[in-house]
Amino acid sequence: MMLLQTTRALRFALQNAKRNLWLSIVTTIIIAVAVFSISLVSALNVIGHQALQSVEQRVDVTVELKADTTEDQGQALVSRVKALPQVAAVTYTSKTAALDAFKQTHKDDANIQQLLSQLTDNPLPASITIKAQHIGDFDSIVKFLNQDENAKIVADSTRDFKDSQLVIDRLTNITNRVRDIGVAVSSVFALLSLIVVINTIRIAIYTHREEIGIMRLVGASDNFIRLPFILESLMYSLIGAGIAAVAMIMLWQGASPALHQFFFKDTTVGVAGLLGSNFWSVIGLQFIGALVLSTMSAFVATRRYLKV
Amino acid sequence: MITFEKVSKLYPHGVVALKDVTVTIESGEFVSIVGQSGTGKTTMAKLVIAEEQPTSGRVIIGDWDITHISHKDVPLLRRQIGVVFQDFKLLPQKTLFENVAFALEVSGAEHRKIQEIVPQVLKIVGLEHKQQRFPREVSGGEQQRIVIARALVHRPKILLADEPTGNLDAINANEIIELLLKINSFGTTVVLVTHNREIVNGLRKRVLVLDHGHLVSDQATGKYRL
Repeated sequence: MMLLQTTRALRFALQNAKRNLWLSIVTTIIIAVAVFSISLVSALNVIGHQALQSVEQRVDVTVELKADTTEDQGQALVSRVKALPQVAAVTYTSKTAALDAFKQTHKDDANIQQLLSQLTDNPLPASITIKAQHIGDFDSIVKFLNQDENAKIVADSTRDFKDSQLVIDRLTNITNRVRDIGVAVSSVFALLSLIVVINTIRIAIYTHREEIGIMRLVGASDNFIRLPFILESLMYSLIGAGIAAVAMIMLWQGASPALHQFFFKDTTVGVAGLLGSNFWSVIGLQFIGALVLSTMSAFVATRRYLKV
Repeated sequence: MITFEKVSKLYPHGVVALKDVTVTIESGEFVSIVGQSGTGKTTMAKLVIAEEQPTSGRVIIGDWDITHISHKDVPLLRRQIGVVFQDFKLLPQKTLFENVAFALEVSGAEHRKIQEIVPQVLKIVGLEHKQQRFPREVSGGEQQRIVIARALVHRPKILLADEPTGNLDAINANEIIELLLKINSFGTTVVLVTHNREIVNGLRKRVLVLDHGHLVSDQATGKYRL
């Protein structure tokens, strides 16, 4: 009996969709556009998030060590800093390496080369370059460097980080604000799309309101009437979500080389990684969302016209 | 078969549709309910199919007191009563065959049974050759005949026809009445709600007359009188 009713409901749903072809097409397109909007805004949000992360990864702070610091002391400091949970990476640059790098940078400047050749001693200090896990972590790293044992070997001029701190604070502010705006815009879009999908299904069922009443009058039970409409709405939603997914995949694949070049060059994050992980879960979530939303909308919309 | 016991139906703003109506319609009868517009004829029909519930009194169909029937049980009741409406109430997106079949499908009839019964009923109403057409592609008289076919398809004991000739010309109206008489002759109780004087006078069957919600006359071989 259950199987018979489901088969009938499916046949009625397909028949309805076919015989109201224009309404079916329009409903599907509206749902596709709504789902695509959510995908696009979500994708932009994720890209923005990753772009901020890449900016953060590019921010590092170089701490100069005092002239009398030995290489062992420098390496020990590196180990201590590395052990901090807030630190993503630390690199040590010895005095010799610093001089080599300086020479390399200014190899075409004859004056500097001449000055360097007259030096008997290496004037450049050793340094360590620190990358934090998050941009806001620099504050606690600075505090750590100001602790007694570390303060002894870190050059006074670089220990307060006032200039770096200012830049980092501004950057932190901007990134937080961009993230908040991203979440707000995504939420508004998700809400709008939700309203559009619910109302599209409601309108599609509204056009059948008289039929629903007639079905009741000839002895159809609520579930018998409702199931074809739920299946029909489900069909529109899944096809709509499918169209949106295909459009999104095409757009993503077309745009990802340019996005990678623009945002993620020289970083460990990127579009390719996103495509593998977040992308498919977003698409999957949209299908599940469309399924739940259309079932609920159809259920609620038919209830109004079943009171005969 | 159909019993109204002191049935009253009041609508909001003090509108009285029926007042203390007591009547019994026996199995196999052909009864016409007549009266001017707004006298409660359609309300009586709606009470029989539980589209409305009485404000007071009892409505009994067979042995079933449907006065306070639950929403869930309404489809079970309606599958036992064939209903013919003035405005046809056919499903516009279904063919004539599908409209008739629908009444069987709702009760869970098997596909084979449907394929067997529907053509027979379509033959009774003379529309077997137009079964693949949609309601908009046939005349008003033909639409009404399809409604009768739908009402008959699960062999109901009661056929309720609410102004079945209201939207039809005289020729089509007579054909519909002939069909109702034929159905009655097979033993089905027919309740005809109408305000068509000629039809009622020509039938020479039992007539119930309603006036402002009151049952003012009940004659075994009655005429339309007000």
